[in-house]
Amino acid sequence: MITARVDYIKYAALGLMAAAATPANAQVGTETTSYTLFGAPGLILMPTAEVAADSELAFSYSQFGPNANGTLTFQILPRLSGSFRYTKLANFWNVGPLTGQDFFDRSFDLEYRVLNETKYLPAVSVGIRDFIGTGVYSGEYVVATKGFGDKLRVHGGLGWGRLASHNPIGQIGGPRPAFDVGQGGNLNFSQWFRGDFAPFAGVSYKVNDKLTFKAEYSSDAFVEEVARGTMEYNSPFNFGIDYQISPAFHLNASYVAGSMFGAGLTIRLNPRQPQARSGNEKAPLPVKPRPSRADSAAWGSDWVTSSENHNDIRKVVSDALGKQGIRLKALGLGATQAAIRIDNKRFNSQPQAVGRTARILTHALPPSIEIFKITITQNGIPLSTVTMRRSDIEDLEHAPALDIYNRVTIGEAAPTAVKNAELPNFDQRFSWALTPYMAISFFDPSSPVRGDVGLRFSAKYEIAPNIILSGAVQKSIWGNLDDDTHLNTSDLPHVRTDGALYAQQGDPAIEHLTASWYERPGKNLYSRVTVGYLEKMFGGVSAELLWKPVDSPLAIGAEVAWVKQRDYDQLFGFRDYDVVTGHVSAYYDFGNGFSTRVDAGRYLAGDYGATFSVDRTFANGWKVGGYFTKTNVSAEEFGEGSFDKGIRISIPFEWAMGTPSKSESGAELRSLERDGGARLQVDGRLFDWVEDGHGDAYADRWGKFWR
Amino acid sequence: MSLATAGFLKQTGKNLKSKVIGGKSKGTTAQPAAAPDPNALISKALSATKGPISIVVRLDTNAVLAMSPVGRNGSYVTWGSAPGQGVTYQRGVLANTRGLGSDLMASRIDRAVMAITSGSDADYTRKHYYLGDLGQTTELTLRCSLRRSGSEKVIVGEINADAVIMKEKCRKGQISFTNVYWVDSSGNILKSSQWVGQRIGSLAIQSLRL
Repeated sequence: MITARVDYIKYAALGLMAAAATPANAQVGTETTSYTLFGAPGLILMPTAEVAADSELAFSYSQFGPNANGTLTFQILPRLSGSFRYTKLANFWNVGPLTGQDFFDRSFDLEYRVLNETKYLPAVSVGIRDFIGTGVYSGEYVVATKGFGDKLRVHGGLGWGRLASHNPIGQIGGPRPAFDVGQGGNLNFSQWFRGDFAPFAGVSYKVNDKLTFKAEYSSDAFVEEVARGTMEYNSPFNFGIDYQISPAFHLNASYVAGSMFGAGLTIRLNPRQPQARSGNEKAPLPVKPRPSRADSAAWGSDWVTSSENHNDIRKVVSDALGKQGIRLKALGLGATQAAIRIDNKRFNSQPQAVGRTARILTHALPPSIEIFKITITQNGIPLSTVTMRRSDIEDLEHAPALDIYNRVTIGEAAPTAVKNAELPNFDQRFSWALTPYMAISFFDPSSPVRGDVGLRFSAKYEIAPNIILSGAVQKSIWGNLDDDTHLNTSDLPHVRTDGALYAQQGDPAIEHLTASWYERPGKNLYSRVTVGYLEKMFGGVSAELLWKPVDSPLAIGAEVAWVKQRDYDQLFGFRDYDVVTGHVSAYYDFGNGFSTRVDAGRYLAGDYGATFSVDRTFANGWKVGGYFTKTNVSAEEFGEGSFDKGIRISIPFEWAMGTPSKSESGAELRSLERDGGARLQVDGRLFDWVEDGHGDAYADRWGKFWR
Repeated sequence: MSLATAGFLKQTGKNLKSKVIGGKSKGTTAQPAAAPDPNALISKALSATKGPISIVVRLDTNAVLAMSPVGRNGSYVTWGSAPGQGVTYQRGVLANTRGLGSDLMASRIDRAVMAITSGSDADYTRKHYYLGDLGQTTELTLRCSLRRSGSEKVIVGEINADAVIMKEKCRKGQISFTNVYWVDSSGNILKSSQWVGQRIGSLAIQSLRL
């Protein structure tokens, strides 16, 4: 079978030239590593026109007076940053039923660099703080920053909203219009840059690489806090220092409003700055060249007629691959060609797994075999095939990886699932694990973080490589997920808001118990059917079909499920509620590091709508993205937050550890999970793992082919 | 083949699991293999195998590896250490590394190899290939000049031969290094100090038996 050659040159050029073409070169200057108490680059409380390094992700926690902030800030583009913040204002409520209680709030900020610093002119940025939500911090600003030498920077700007609460000097368009926060979660667009404005200013002095002094004249008078008697405001001047303990960790301390000490910790991570040197894994097996052609006995193909030879070779290859964390799924041998199917369990870079497989084949296969066809599979499903000439492997072992890239073809794999009869390691189909687990629930209005830790027993049995039984049982050891005494007032079917009941009654719980069947119905097509207890709260049947050509930036999927809500005890029973839910999804990779996805359909509560998401992805596997879901549920029906939205981050272990690993650590911060716009959770959704074995997975990580 | 190699490596591993801390060598032109009690190390290494063996010292840390050939492909020979590092040479000139972390992934150094092994002055470019922080291939092109700078007798282990000293100076912008090679009359590099990359620095390589 000849696989059509796929032209990957555009990707290759992108991968190779990354050093020159990525935003590393599009840097906008006037960067800082120092963050405010609100967790964005800047002074103490006031913003500056400084930016963080492109793609920097900063987690920070700070406290001053009654005010505590946990913030996540991402430098989305060299000029654009976004922050997500969770705030506690202690003892905020001084009247009404909540008297004496704390106030918790979430807020989002954006800042955009309009002008870059030049020899004579400052950098200028525009920002909006707390622009969706309940608006405690709402304020807008325009700010300029000018450096004098390498160490001193002077900052000054004008603020609106909260940033005009001290000594305003003018007004735009009359008083700032009121904003009806409703359930929160709406843009306060009508308020932006309206009403009073006030000046603010500051200086920062970088003593050395580790230490920075800052001072500012703040335009935030803490009106609300002072009125509620939770803090004292004596002065608009704030003073702070920022100390870099290590490139990733910063501590800051400050004196705020002439009355309070503040302190904070910032952790800075950047996909471009791996925590560990990469390539600590052991050297690969060197390629073994074949003997000279003159040795006609060695080059004969008589071996092919003996099935004993085939079995021996299969065993050798299976053992050698096993040591590399690669599972041999099938090996078909002809006189001049070998077709091998592998399941890469270790390498974050598929090309690295393919390269190591090719090296092993040069040792194990008779010289008459010239063509290697290496197919990456997952869940028994072939994803793509790399076809190469053994002579090229021999010739180019020590050449740059691009040379061999230009010689191989990467194409769609033949659409047939791996069969039991092909498996060389038939006895490895059962696996189990006993592991600790941790579940965290964020942003409950009365207690921002709840958790649960316990033990999880999981097991998996492959009836066939593509038909998999899977189950997990978990038992909580300690947790307070079930402490939630919040009255559930949701008017929608309680598809997600009964989480506390599930936590109270489901211990031990059957986390999932499913049978999944994966298939290739045809060219460019992938399918999945899953039956059983699909997730904590729902069981039933889910079916999915994905169209995804191996080198296409576009993929389309459709999914439909009939599910019934599970009993709170999470054993075998069901409650009365059932629903037909499903989505049509489109996935598009812009090729510049951004990808998007739209899912439109019917959600668990029977509501109709769509989810939009955008991710910034990096070749090494980092992903940072956000999403929101709008359905025909009104903001009032939805409850706090008005609609579902969130941020997700995925960090590959390889980046953190320096040794190969396919694992990644993912986190999702959603504003507050309610019943509207809720999706079924089911393991093995097609796009996630099919993409992993397709075009970009090769092109972006090809540099490790010979690693 | 691979099994035999693995067995061999395991064996040398037992004998040579040595990480030696010693006096820090200054600069890349310093005498290589400056480890404490080198004689004990050398005799240990020599007794571990009957074939070719060399001692490789990372100059920045003084970490020591004993290495022996594990693969041969045309003019390239790959040497391996018991813990799993690999270094490939093109006729004695370092061509790539594996398992050191921040490895030199590949290089184009044909001109350099020809000039160094023939002991003749020359000017040329070297191309080095590394993996960038996002895993992408990055290319570093360096301008180099190779000059003969005297001769010396090299007596270490089972090596006892006259050698000419070749000094290779390379530069690209802020990046510069000097490699030194002791080359015998047949073009064998008996010992050398060779640069891997910015993060690893240079390796001192001392053959004990050719």
